[in-house]
Amino acid sequence: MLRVLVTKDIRRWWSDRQAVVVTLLLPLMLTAVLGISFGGFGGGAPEIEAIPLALVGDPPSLLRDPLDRALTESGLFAPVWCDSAEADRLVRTGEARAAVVLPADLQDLLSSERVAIGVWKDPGSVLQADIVEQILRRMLLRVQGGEAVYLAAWPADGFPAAGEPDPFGDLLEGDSLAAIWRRLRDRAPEVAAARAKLEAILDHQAALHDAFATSAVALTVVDRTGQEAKGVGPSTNMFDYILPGMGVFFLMFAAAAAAGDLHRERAGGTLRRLLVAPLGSTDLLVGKWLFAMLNGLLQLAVLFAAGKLLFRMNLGTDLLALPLAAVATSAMLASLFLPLALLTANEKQMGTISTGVTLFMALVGGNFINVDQMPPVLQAAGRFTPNYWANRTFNDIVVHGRGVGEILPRVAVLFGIAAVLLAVAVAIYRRRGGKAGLL
Amino acid sequence: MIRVRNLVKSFGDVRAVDDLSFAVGPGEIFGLLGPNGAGKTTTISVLATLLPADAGAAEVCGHDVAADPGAVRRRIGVVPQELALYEELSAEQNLATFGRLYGLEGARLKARCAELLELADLTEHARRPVKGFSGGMKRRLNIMLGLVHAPDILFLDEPTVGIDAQARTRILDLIRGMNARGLTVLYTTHYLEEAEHLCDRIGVIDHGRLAALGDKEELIQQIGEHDVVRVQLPPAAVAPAAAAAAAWPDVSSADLRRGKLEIHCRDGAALLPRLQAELAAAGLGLDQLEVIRPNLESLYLKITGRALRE
Ligand SMILES: Nc1ncnc2c1ncn2[C@@H]1O[C@H](COP(=O)(O)OP(=O)(O)OP(=O)(O)O)[C@@H](O)[C@H]1O
Ligand SMILES: [Mg+2]
Repeated sequence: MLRVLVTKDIRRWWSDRQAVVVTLLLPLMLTAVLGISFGGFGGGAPEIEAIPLALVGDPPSLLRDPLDRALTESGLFAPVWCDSAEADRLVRTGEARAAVVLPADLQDLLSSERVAIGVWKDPGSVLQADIVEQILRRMLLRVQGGEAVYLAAWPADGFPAAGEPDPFGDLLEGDSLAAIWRRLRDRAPEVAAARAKLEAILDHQAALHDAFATSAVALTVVDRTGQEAKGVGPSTNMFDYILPGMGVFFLMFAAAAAAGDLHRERAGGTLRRLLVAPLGSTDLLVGKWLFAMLNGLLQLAVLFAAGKLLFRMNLGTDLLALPLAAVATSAMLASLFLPLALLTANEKQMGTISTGVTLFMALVGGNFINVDQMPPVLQAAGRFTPNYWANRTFNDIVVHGRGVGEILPRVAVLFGIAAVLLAVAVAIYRRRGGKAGLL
Repeated sequence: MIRVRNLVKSFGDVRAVDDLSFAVGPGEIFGLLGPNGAGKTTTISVLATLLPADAGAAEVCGHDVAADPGAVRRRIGVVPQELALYEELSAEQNLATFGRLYGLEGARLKARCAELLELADLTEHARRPVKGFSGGMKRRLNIMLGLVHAPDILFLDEPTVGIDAQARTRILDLIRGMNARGLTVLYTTHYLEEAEHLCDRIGVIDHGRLAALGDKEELIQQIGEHDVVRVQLPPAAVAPAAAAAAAWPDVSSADLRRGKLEIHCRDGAALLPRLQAELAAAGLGLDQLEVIRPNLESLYLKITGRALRE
């Protein structure tokens, strides 16, 4: 019986392809817009906090002071000078986004063949660590550029001055291609001269190239993983932070629509038909729940699959974690609006209330701001919204790469909410059915 | 098949069904005729176990609707007043969905759907979504959906609302055909001609009360053999004329209805000479006059005091 009811609802849902496409596309589009405006640096971020940066090394104040001043004045960095053990700790705990390891002694810069400046990155904040790396690279490029200029300055006879021999000019002398071809065919002396010149230039280029490749100063970049994360650091993909929240947000609307279908069936008269059919006492309600749940699951599946393809999202390290979270979330959202549907008089009333509730819960529960970045007040208040738990669970998987074992408590909360709300709905349904009928 | 005794059902202050009693025998087409808000749908809802009654008792196929709703549901089919169809699904999918809910499956389900589609003349449109159907097609499908499980009794709640005369005739023929095969029908309508032509017996219901009950002849008996003479008069003259006419012999009542003088009497034709003479004496001309022989319409008007299609 349930199967028949659910099949019917899925068919009805699917028949409105346009609505289906919109339901599935909207969260993706919003995710794209938000992801690009936040991920695109300087595009939307109103204020950039100074990036905490650990500096390791004990260069003479001659170098240290200007470096310190330059970093601070740039407004981008808050430099902390420390030893290498402390820098390691700071990066791993996330207190510093990156550490720059200068050569232990400035003497090295002068005496050794190669000098390495190290950058240790906190992969959890790659965006900021990347800034450090890019800036250092630019600085080094300038040093290397100095070397290159020196090297390039050496045989500077690529373009001969007036009166000097010009092998290429001699080779190309004449007004027809045929003349040039003849010179080449007859191996005229101009050809040998041009060839010698070409070789000289190529040697020069190779020397330049070698100079760059083995620059006296090199940058080595090392990822230092945060302490808590086991193996995988927090995600670096902006979309990982945004898409699950958007998905859950839109799923709330879908769930409200699915529950509100009870009103539609009543108004259309089909509820009358279903109620006289020999169904189990709660089949109708459980059928709606099941449909909402499958519908939600499908939407989440499509959303995450699209997220993977379009935004190269991280779907977690544990194959089971995401499906489990999706099932728990769908179950919870399927229950969420059933009591409301049974307590409201018509679809319009239900729609007004459920939209208000959804927007409020989305705001408090972390659908618009990633749960990690919510201010403490919201973090505390969010716990009382069901969607918060869904957002947290997805965040754990997608952003922090946690596995089934670690998300289990939150999944249990989701299933708990699902069960309680469904039980409430069944109780209301039974009571109404006994007293006044469901019509 | 159906026995209703002193049924009462109220919604707050509104007594939708008020002390209603009637019975329907097997193979009968029983019409519940009444204007909007008379309580027809409420009565059907109680009989179909969808609403609990406040007082009284109702039995369907020998089962009490309150005590054994499950047994009742298995024997009845319900055709709601609304077009209770899934517009997004095809005609066939609509039928199959409800067929499955009644436990039909596989070849039996297929055969039943095909049979009903054929009966409703929808075979060619079986796979089209219902939302593209005409009003008549939807109405026919609406009826078929009540029949998938081959019930013994069919409750038809105003099944011809909002369709043209041709489509209506088709539906009435359809119902007659099914009745000929043994289906008992409880038919509600506010179209008098439908009740008159289709139903074996009619209960006229208004304000939840049964105002008259019987076959066509019996109902006409119930208003006496009264003719109605309707005269159009200048407004000022109507009231005195009504007062005078009421005193005439053989006149049972004379009053003002919708701006006309309406005289109920034993023999309208015999009354005319006197009426004309009196009017002439009063210096009034006859604008318009009609004599209505007793029929259900006059009965209906008398009972409900309302025009037919309001
Ligand atoms: N669920 C309800 N709640 C409150 N009042 C109701 C309800 N259902 C019906 N009524 C009232 O009961 C009375 C009878 O309604 P009912 O629907 O049975 O009439 P009906 O004869 O079917 O009329 P119609 O021809 O318009 O379908 C009406 O006054 C109506 O307003
Ligand atoms: Mg009705």
